[in-house]
Amino acid sequence: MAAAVLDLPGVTFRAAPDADHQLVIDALRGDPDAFAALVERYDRAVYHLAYRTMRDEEEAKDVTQEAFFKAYRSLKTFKPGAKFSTWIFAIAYHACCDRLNRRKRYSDEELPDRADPARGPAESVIAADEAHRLRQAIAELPEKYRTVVTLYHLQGKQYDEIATVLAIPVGTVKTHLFRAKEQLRRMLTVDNVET
Amino acid sequence: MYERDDDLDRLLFAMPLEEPPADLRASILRATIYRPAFALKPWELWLCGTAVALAVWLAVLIFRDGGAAFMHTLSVIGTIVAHVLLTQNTWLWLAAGIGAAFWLLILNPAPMPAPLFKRYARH
Repeated sequence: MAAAVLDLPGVTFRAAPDADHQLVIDALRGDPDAFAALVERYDRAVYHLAYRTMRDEEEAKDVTQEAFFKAYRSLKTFKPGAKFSTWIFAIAYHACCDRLNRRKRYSDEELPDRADPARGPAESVIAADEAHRLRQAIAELPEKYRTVVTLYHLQGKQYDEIATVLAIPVGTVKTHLFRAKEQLRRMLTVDNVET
Repeated sequence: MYERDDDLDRLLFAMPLEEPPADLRASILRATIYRPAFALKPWELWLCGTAVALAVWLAVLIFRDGGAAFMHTLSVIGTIVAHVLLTQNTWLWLAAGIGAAFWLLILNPAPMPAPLFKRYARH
């Protein structure tokens, strides 16, 4: 099995599925360090996915905790052929969906943009930064595109893995990604012209 | 510069991940591997629950109607138990069950538990 690429800035590991698999087996045998190693590998990526989906720091933190807690409790159900990253992302994504549904139920408005308040003078200076503008553009995408782009960022061009996490067909993933990129390109170009 | 797909991909993959709260990892570990184990096993909890329910039921029976309901229930239960124990069929089925269990043990002995086996193997 080839090593999975999760080689992102700020993430100092390369997640090899075989290593993950061994860690899961060790954790199931009762080795607490093995599960701690899994947490160390994926907590930042899971938090990133939760934060991008929820757009709220507190909720992203809660979702990350919930995802790892559920994973820990149902580690026995983890299928040997599956990838741990896909599994934990799927758990986190479902937790996000539950919370978003709850949020919609208690509010008549569309989902609030809580993570991106209005730009102040300091933010305007930072806005020149490429990554910051991209982050803002992603935050403005509709939820389904935002999640696909985030998972594309986390999992690379593994469309089937993204499809598994979101429980949608691979074709839909590709369509969403194409449209998301189109929107991103448009937003970033407009932003470029304005600045 | 964002017209080409590769450029946008490069920008996307170069984007750093969100910085999680400092205590996130510690709180996850506290909730999972360092979570204190519950003192009782599930079957022990069930046993305690049943015992408490029985005690409450008995207390209600004793204190209601000055214990008349309790005495009545006790006599009903006593009658049923006496009837069951005095029936020949009960003893026949009990004997058949014990006999079957005995012969199953003789013909198909259960494997020795691993730690016990190791202990014996050393000697």
